Amino acid sequence: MLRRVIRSLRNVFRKQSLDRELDEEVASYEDLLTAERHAGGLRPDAARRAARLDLGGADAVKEAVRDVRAGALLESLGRDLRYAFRTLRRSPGFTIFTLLTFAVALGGLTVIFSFVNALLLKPLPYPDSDRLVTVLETDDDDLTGGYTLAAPNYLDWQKENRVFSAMAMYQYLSANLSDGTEPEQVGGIRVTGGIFDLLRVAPMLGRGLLPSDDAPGTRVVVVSHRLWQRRYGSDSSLVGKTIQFNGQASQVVGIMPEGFAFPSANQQIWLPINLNAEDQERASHSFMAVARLKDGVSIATARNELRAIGHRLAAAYPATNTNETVNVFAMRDLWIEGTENVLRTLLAAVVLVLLIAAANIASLLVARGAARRREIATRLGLGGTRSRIARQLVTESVVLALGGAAVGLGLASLGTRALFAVFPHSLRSVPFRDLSSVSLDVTVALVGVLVALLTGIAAGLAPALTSLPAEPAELLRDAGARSTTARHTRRLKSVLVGGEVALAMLVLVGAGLLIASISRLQRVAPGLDPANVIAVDMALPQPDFYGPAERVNLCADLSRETTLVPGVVSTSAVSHVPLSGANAGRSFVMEGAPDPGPANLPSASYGVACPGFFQTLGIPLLAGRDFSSADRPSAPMVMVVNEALGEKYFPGANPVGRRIKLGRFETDGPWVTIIGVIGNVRHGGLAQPVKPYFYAPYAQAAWPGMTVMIRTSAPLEGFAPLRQALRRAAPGEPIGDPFTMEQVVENSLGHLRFPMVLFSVFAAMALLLAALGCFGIASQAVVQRRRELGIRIALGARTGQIYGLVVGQALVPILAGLGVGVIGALAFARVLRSLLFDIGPGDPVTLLLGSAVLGVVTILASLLAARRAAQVDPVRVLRDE
Amino acid sequence: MAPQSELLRGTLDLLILKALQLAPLHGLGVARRVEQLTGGTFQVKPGSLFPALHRLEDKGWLSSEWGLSDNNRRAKYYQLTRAGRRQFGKEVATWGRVAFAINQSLESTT
Repeated sequence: MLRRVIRSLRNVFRKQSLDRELDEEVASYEDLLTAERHAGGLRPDAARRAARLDLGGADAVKEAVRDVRAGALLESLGRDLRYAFRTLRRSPGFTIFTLLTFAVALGGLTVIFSFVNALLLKPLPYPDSDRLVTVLETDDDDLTGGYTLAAPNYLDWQKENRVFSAMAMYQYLSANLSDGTEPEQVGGIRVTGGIFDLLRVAPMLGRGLLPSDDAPGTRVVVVSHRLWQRRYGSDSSLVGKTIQFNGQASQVVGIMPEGFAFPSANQQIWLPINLNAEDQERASHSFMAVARLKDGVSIATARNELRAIGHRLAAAYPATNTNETVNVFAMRDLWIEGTENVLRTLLAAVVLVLLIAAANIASLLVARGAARRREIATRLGLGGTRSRIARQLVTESVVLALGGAAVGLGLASLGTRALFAVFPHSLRSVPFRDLSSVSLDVTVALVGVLVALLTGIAAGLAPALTSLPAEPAELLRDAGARSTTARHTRRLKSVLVGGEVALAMLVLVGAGLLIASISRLQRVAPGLDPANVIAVDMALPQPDFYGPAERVNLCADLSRETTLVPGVVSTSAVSHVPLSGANAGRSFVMEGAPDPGPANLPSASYGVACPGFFQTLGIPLLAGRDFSSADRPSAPMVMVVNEALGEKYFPGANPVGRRIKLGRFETDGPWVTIIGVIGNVRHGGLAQPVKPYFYAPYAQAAWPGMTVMIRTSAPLEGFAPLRQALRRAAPGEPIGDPFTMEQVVENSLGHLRFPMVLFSVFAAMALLLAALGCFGIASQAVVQRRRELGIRIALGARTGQIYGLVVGQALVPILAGLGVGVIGALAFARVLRSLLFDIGPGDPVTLLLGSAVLGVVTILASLLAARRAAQVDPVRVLRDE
Repeated sequence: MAPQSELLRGTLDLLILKALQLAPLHGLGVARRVEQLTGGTFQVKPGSLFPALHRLEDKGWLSSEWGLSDNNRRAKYYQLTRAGRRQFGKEVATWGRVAFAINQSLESTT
């Protein structure tokens, strides 16, 4: 074995001297043979001729020896490579085009695959993450989903279960940092101690949160690597220092390592849970929970045990827990479903593009093969074996594919970065992962190269199989166009082009459906007028939600200071920006109505607003009055409801003047009078249905983070004067960056925008490739039928007839492709269904439009080729023959 | 090449080893010796002879050197190596078993 390896290497390196020796050996054989014949009585020249005849082609003999020589494969590969490079250099147009086709298709595939890999394939970035689960409450009859949980229930689960080695509970919050430099708001969570031990990630500096930190009044925080770098300049002495946080001094005890994300990369600060009185209510659902399974415990076992505990709690606390139980599922499955759908769809689209690209390259290579038939026939005639020539052809397409892969990987790394630039927020909100580090890792690159290699081999085999004739002599005799193999080639090309058109149809229809969804979504009336409204987040010192405001005059101060700025029409503020998806909810009871029981309490989402909010946002007041400065904490409690709440809970009646109480009848709280009804607003986003909603006045029900909304008479030039006005209105409070209400409306399309943009890019690529394929097949028809066309033109055929002849050749595969494509699109669009809004996967208009665009573009491409046919000069053609 | 060449291909190695038993030979010499040994049944053409010679040399069963032929022409002479002799013994034994088995199957009357 070893000897053979050494020999192989030596043979490769000594190739030249070996070849020379072989030449001599074969020559000497011929000499000996001649001498033998001469001795047998032939004259010298006759003897030489007989010897040559006997030898049967010196080159063939040498080629056969080279083929068996140790290391022959290696050596012939080198020869094939050199030959491939030479041929490719000789036709730069073809080379660049195929290379780019490969590069673009593979680049797209690699970008999407990078995300699939990072989001779906890779385990979560915590040690032994397959043992981590999410624990949520769920309705007894809904075993698939879950919702936020009540802290007392969590504490009972924690006490009673024997399946988890650790559990942790957390809640999202916004943290207002106001220490020294510019105050700012960052995302964070409050979480029970031991969370980092549970995740098995140690802080980079200092310590994590400990169970002892859960004690009320513990003021410590752990900050993220990013925050530490950005806000504190990577100051390693930060640990132990005190920062001003939500108006209170808290000590930094730890800094997490780079890339750590929990629950997402948006959370940059972790603080102890500090359960307050409201948290202790079993009806107050506002927490999430994670847990680590004990060794040997399966998710199913854990779920069964937790469900049993949930049933016991439901029996023990019927008022709050009736019909409630617990769901346990793999942590990585939380909120991944939507992302998974999007990625799966995009992966399907990009694979289609890759297939189209492969078909295109194959048909180009077939065409080239046809053009090189003479060369191949000559090589066959000179003793080249079939397998050698096939190997040569495959080598050529593999070289193209790998070159394309290299360029494609470069494009992919640009593309990934571009995606982050375009969709920074959606990509950072991905649960449990810090995607800012998504890059082309080795796995992805290898998959890309492997796909390129397979595509190259497949695309190279097609021409290898079709352009190798049975009898070389036949091929040399008639120059190709009229032989049976040429027809064969043409049929293969037709099939390839038809396939391309069909595949392009799928991608096109997919893009069409997504674009239609977005445009329908954009036509949904949001219920407000977003033009010329600027919003700014502002944090306020407010220890409890829905308590009396600490800054009673905030609304008046804001309005007074900002309306001094030229161009400001009106100013108000709100706790939850409409259409942003932010929401809070409460259950309530209605005065005079029978007690519906704890399980059937009416409920609604709510927000807290300053007077003038509805007018500022252009939300119509349908009945009653708006809040006013008279609605102070000491005045009777009031609220404004939306039309949907009125219709649902006061059907047929005017809700103005009616009273409701938050919580239950026995709750110790005031009755709140409904003073106005406003039009419905799509609070959850444009794609979400309208839900019952009420507003409370800020002075009576304050909220810690308010968004100031400012309507101006024209788009604002600079924000600086407004920022100064806000400073004056609320000195020392953090002020965020301004955004427009139009951006909020745009963002509510975000979940569709990401797939729509990518799908459109893929559709454009598919369309371009299909058009090039049609151009190719029509041009080939022109080349192959040049003589016939020349004769026809000489005999007086009109230009139109020539065009018809050429386009006709491409028309059959185009029409067949369109037909197959429509059927395929009907099936393919089902994959998209979950992303579509207000449009069916089989939408006839989209199908029709897709076919029309594809048909027109591909036929135009073939017309372009036909133009060359019409310009054929009959005299030259006939002279060439 | 003669039609029986396909059959020959498997046994060509064996015949070449046999042809080189007595003395080193050049390519044409090997071809003539095989013809002579098989009574003219096997005519080895250069297209299969040279690949076989080089293959056997790569395996280390033959070695080669340039020499002068009877009529004073330069020619490459092949000779058996020690490994080649051992291999020849093995191949003869294998061939014996195969030939015996085939003969037996052909002579069987059932």
